[in-house]
Amino acid sequence: MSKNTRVVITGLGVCSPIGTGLKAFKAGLKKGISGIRYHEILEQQNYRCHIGGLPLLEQKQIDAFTKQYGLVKMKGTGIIYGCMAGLEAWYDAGLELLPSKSSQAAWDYGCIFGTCTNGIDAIDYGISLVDTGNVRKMGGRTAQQAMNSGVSAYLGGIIGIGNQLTTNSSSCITGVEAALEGFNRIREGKSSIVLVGSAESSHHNVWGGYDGMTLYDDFYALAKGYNDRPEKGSCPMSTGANGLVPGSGGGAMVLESLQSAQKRGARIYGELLGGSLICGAQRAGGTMTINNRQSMEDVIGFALEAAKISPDEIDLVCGHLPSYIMDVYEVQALAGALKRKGNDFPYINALKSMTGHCFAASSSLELVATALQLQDQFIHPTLNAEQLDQEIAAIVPRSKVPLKSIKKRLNIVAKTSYGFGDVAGCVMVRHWPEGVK
Amino acid sequence: MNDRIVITGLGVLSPNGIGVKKFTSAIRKGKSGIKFYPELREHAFRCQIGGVPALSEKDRLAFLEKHQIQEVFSTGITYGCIAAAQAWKDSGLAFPKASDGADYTSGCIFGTGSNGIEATHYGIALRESGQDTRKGNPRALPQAINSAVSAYIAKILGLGNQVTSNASACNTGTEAILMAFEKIRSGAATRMLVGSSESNSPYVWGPFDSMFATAHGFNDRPQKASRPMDKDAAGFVPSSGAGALVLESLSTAQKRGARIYAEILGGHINSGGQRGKGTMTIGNVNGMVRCIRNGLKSCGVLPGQIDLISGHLSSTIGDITEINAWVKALNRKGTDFPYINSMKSMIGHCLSASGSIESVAAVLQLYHGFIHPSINADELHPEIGQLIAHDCVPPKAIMDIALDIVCKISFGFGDVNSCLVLKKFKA
Repeated sequence: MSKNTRVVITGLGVCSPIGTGLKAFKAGLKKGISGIRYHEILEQQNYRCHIGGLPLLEQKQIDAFTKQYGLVKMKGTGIIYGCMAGLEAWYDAGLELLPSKSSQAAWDYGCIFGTCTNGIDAIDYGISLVDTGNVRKMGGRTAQQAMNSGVSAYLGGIIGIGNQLTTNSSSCITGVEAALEGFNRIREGKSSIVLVGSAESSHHNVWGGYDGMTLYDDFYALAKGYNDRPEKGSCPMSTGANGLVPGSGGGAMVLESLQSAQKRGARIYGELLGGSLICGAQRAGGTMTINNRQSMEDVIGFALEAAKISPDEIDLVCGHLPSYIMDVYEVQALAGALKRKGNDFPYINALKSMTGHCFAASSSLELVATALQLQDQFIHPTLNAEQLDQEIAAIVPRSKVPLKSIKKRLNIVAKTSYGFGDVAGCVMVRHWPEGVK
Repeated sequence: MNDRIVITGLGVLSPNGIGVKKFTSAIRKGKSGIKFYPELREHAFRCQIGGVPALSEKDRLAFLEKHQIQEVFSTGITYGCIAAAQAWKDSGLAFPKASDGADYTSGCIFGTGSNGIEATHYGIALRESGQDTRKGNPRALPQAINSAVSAYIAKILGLGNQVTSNASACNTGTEAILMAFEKIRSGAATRMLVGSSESNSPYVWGPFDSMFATAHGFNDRPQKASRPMDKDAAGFVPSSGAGALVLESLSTAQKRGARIYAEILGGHINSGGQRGKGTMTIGNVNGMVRCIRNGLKSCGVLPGQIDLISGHLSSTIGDITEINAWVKALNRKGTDFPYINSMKSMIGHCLSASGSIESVAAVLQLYHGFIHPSINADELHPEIGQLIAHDCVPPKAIMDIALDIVCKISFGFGDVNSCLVLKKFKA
């Protein structure tokens, strides 16, 4: 194998505030529905922001799933979302689980599945028992759910993964990072198939933490003034963008060498061309919570270089766009790196306008959306972006931020991602023409 | 691109010594870092002993102030940052000023399993105390994110390449080294700060206590509790700390005249798939054997060339599976088996931090030419004694021994494995 190995996407799975399962998710994307709701518990806890996006999932679906896969005493919501999305992607790619009585593992199949705080449900449970002197009642299933790699460990056991099985964590770029790590494993010939993705738990402490956090000066992180109109709260690129809306969920993709996909006759959603992962080192205006703007721009340039494409080849940017000042910085970084503005600027959209910011899960969900848009040749809307922020409007014309989903010929989509710790990621994905094998 | 990759800096916060100098001296002597902790008895833990790096409050505060990260209260993040800064300095590298730009050629893979525990606890306690949740510390939350340790390290060292935190349970540290090795080899970076850390908290240890994984029956004899390979091994001793290494391409290291501790030849990362006898918590021996064989194959090292194995060996039933895997993979047994030792015999099981602390120990042994003792292996477990000679497990340090190839192995929950092959550096 060599650097010439091509890597394609052959399976997708999703558990999101606008729909669980590919079919529902795709319908939600095309319609432009909002998954943001008011949540009473947030008001009871006296948080500032009472709105958020939880995956559309009923308890009986969760019960059936945990029963089917023997997930005994499963408390980790993020682990459930990750396993649901991961297994959907696995089956969607036409792959099977390794029989449980096999003594060997699937040595050529790996899994890199990230998260930031999936252990929180088990940790919360464990802390209360330790504090009350009841550590012995915790039982034998807590450690594996409290550790950060719980989600990959469960997926690995269900599928029978025999290649690298790990969990990456780099705050909100986790999903893009997992995809690029999987891409590298396949390129280097270490694996023919890697299940990649990321998940984030639905625990009010995850959201509560962000609620009490300032991004800079006394600017609190979460959306303000939208508690009575939740669906308007996440409004990337708009004049009303004043903080992110928290969300949770899981997204997954099966990445595969073209050779393996062709041999299996697998359906191909798109080709991963490559990308870049860098850090601004919290220098030059970058902090733990706001990105170094030079590195925001540089990561796009490095990704173009890695993918061997030119700036004008990009038809659509599936942005990070969290719905605050970072939106402006991101659009300016794109304009700088691509040297495109006005009518020449590519189309741009923000999934977070519908799902909120699903943190570690966000860029996996956005990659699934990217693959679906490439496959079906459409651009999903950005909700609540009627009134573009002035500084954004100076670069991007109204027509490039569709408010309704539009059909469009797309060849290359750039997916940008930025995160706490001043980390930046960008990956390029290309359309795979139907019928081409 | 296919430049050789070397280790040029080390840092460590171990229960038996902080800093390379003290740690080297401790592991030569076979010094135990395991102690009784009354707090654990108060919490009604079965196992009331553990290992914690003896970091003084004064040193902790001085470090945080020096690097302008006074908000850090997570022990795991603190350990990780201190170990990373030690390794960087040890490597002869300068600490960039805040005004310097990010160095896009240097990155960081620094793993952890539960460094966020203190910040998570802080948030939960705030909520449950009935206080105004809006009055929390706004700088607490970023520490709950699993990648916080790598983010802080990048800030201190000005790292601009990939900066991330991996997690694969107790396999984390060794996996981080191999992942960084691949980054440099593929040309994506020229230098990587790697390592792992684990917080010191009863909330980290509690779940293991509850699942009967930790040592029982040794609360009155802490230093005897961690006894890998011994017939009386009865569970691991939980501990905490951090290890860090600077990896770089040989050409970069030579160009700046850096001291070279050792060369990384290769290795392998895999999983046993929780198949065979493997489960979430017990390794599939077939996965381990394959991990060792592929690790050696990746760099063309033959089983007969291995001088020392730095085992995972946690003082549990898993020790027997591990020895079986080595014997099968190498086809060496009895007195023909290489030397093997367990760092955990002295410091307990530092969980996510274990692989990196033990790798630091492996590198030090290779560099200085000694083998640290594996304490408390007084009488080998009969199933282990059948496979390897007791002489392969040194009860006291072996000084002045020329080592050429050392293998470091780690395993973790989820049935994950990593095997790293290190070589004495020769230009």
